[in-house]
Amino acid sequence: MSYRVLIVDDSSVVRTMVKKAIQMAGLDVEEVHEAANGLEALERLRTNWVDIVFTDLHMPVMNGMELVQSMARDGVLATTPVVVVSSDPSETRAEDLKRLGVRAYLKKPFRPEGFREVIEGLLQGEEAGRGR
Amino acid sequence: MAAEIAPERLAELVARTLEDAAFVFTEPADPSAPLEAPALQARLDFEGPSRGELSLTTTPAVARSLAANLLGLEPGDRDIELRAGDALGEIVNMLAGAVVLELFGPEAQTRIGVPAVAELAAPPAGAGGTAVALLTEEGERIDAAVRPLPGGAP
Repeated sequence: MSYRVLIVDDSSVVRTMVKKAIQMAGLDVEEVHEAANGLEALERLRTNWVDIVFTDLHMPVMNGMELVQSMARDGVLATTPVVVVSSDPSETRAEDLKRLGVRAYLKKPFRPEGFREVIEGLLQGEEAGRGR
Repeated sequence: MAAEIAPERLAELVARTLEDAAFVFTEPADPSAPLEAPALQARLDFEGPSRGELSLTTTPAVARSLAANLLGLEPGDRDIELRAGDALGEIVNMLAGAVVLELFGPEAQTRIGVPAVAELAAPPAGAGGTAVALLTEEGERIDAAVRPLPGGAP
């Protein structure tokens, strides 16, 4: 089974790092979409099917928290799994994000093994409900 | 009163971030010796109970190493030169997470700004706060500084 992912970060360096980490984690990726902020991410999400979103928090134009809030309010996007990849150390913010439905929080700097654990955990939950 | 970080602790956080993120190993250096120009500097502001600015200043060679190691690029890849500044910006972003945690703890409401990267024609002058210097295994200099800014949440 292959997946379509969206990577959201204002740094092209991080988008590349995340892309490589996902590949090293063994996820069968069919398509990788990229966005430099939350607003661009919403545009991609409304025009492309995406199975998992990996997003940073601190970005210009629309940050990751605002993206997650917008997705949570959207009837279609609310069920798309979101993984936050950020250097933000705030446990309060991590709790807020969990309440909004964020599935996992990966702290930067990250290692590919961290991605593997998160992805395996996510997919175990998603496989049963995914009818495609 | 603005939160402060001890120089030894800042040096430790810089070294750990560089090592964990980009496999760049460092040792402490004398911060009073000036950094040679031209240098690349990435800086960002942060905010919690008080405000501050974090900067990382280094040589173009170190920035290129960071890009190569973060992105897994082979020597000679032209992306190394193109993405050196972004790589330094990302390292300062990662370091900011550790610095903010050290200054304010995990419970504080904090904000980390977006990094800005610039080439410096002259070495930066000290302006208070905490400043440290490190040397890579190749003898290249990396300076880090945390400086208080006016304002911030009460």
